[in-house]
Amino acid sequence: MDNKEFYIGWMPAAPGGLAKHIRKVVVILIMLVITAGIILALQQKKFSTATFEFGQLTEITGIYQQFPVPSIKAMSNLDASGHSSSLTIPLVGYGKSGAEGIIAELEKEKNTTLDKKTVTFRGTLLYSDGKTLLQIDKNDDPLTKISDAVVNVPPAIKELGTVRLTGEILDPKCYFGVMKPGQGKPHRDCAIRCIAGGMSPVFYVRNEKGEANYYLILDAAGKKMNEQLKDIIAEPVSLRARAVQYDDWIVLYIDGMNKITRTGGLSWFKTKDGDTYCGVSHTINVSE
Amino acid sequence: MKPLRKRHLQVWTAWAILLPVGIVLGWLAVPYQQPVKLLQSSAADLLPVIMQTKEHNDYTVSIRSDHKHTAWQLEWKNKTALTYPSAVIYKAGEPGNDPGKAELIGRIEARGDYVFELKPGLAQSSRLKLVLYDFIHEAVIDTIIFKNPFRYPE
Amino acid sequence: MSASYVAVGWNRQKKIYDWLIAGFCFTYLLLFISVTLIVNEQVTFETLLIRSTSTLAVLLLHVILAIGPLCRLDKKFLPLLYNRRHLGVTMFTFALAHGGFSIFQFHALGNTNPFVSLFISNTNFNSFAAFPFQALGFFALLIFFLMAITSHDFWLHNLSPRVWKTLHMFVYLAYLLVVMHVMLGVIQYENNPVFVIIILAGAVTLITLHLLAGSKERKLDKRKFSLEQEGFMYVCPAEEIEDSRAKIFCIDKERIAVYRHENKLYAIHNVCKHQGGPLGEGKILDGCITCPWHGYQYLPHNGQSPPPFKEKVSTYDVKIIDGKVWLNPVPFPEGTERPGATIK
Repeated sequence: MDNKEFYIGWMPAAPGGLAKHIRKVVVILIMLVITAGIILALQQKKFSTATFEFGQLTEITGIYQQFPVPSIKAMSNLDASGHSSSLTIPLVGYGKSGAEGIIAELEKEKNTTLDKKTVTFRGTLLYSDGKTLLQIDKNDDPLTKISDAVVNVPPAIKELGTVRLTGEILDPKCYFGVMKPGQGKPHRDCAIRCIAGGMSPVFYVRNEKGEANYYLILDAAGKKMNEQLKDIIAEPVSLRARAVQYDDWIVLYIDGMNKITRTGGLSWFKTKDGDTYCGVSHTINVSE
Repeated sequence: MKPLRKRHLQVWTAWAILLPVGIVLGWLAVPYQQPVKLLQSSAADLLPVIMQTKEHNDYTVSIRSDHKHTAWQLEWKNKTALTYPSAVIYKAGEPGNDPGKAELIGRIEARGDYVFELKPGLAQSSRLKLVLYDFIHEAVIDTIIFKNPFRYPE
Repeated sequence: MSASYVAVGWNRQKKIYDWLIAGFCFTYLLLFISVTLIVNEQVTFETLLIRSTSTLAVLLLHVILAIGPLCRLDKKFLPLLYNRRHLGVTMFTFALAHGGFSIFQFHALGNTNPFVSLFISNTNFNSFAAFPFQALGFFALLIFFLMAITSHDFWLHNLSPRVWKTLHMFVYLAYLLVVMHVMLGVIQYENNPVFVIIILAGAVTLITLHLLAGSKERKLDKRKFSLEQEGFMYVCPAEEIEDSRAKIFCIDKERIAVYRHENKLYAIHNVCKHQGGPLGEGKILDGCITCPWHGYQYLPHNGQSPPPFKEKVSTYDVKIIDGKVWLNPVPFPEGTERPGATIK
């Protein structure tokens, strides 16, 4: 820069030498902006294929089950021989709330209980990775049909013994549909809020290929333990639990918080251990 | 103004230590989730002979048999994660895909490999039409047709 | 430079500056969003909004923090400083979009007020890995907010430049908070070393620039003046000071600018009344000492801004003996007329 040149912002134009320099800076900044925009966009993890059918209502008929989590057991169409397959669809409420509140409201409104009855719910589907959930919202007038009698079709129950698993506790609504990513640290506060709001916590375990198993979590007595889990949501934890398969979901019965330990933190200081794992059997029985 | 200048230098001297330490510690703190072995299908062992195979972008479907052709299997391998709320496989009648006139083979999930027994009585049929059906949306996802499914392709 | 306050005193260079800011932001958002949609079509609108605004705000923050030391190191960067506040307010706007939408996305529609939820959801304050990173972002946003609302000259004058500068120095704290918000937040999930390298490279660049600029200033402040005569200190030979320019000397904690104008030397306090700009790095234009930062002007012989402006700075006595410049570091009240010293 020529020492005679002096920049004053309120003058109409910058002196020639300065203007030239600033033009160079502007070109550098443009290149920086372009590189940053492309690199940052390209380096993001792939998003899941989870679907939330926002704004689209679907009617699902099946047997409402209060246990292990509020869910509807939907049957596939009967085939020529009268066989069908089933899919257990856990229910979630609107926003960051579980289904218990709205179920209680509906039961009060209809002056009946829903458990083990054939019902038709109208709601918004969300699904990913083989698991399907249904959001029921008071504003959608969700309960369209309810049978008078209780249907006695208990779930196929299979004891899987005591298991030790490493994975992450997450809220199913965000993970299986509403948010991407619906797991990990960035989503942690939301998962805490959802689970505090009554959403059934799900334990997520994955292998090196990215394939996953999902489990429902209850305490040893089969009660919800949402409140206790608050501090260890959305981070790697190891747990010991009794695993029981109910149709197409496995429930982990955890006997107290001392059965869950954090495995996150500074990964260099962690030792490998010999966990054993178990997942849902891929053979889904056709009911007779 | 001199104290302010001094403060600037002090702050950035401190930051020269704190920022790199914070960044490195934050990087070290990234949780490493050890991949685990998942329980795989407990279905029957695969029969040794592959009779026919159909490839699709999302899955591979094969008819398998034993050497004496006394037992038959349908092997379904998902290549990508399916994006349907439900998926069941029917052996459909002709014509049409109405599940009520079909025979249910089984349900699959979004990922993984599946093996289903096929009834030997089907050995004589000249055409096997499989329907992948989403019963939640009541929609056919795909139909897969094997010609002379229980013979080697000519 | 203005006698009364207007919302934004527009001029041609500010307009060019603002168009460039708008162009950069638009280009960045367009690229980030379209590239993400092309390679990652499963992305949700919410995530796209949260990530595009946050990354842009962090990028802008780095540019903003680099401008100061670059100008101290090389005056050629001064045009970037002139309208830095608009860059700051733009950065805050994107940070607010990111923060506001994240609070809605992650905390609204729950069983607690979203702002309460922000602080009571994750309470792992004793864990580094599980630390509530959202709170870090919130406090950084709060600092940016205070800076953005006080960015107008109205606040600069009413808070006094010193308080204002101190408040605006909190941007360094905000930067530290932002870095840790990123490291303990999204990096814990997007465990991609490329992001860590980018953050580290940004930090190392800013640290280097600030330390270089800081030590350069420090050298000026640390110069010792040992020759004293009747309260006057010997500072330099008279011919070292170029016409219409000044040299700065720091005596007893205060910087004094000695200007040469029409074959005379005048000494005034180096600190501009506007934002504390270094008057000694300015130039005499139309008979007025002109601040290099925002063009505020003062008359050399009395330190007063020409009417109708009312700014005034302290003046000092200066004398020349045998071609040597002697300076008296005791200030006269702001705006006091001094005769200056004639160069033979």
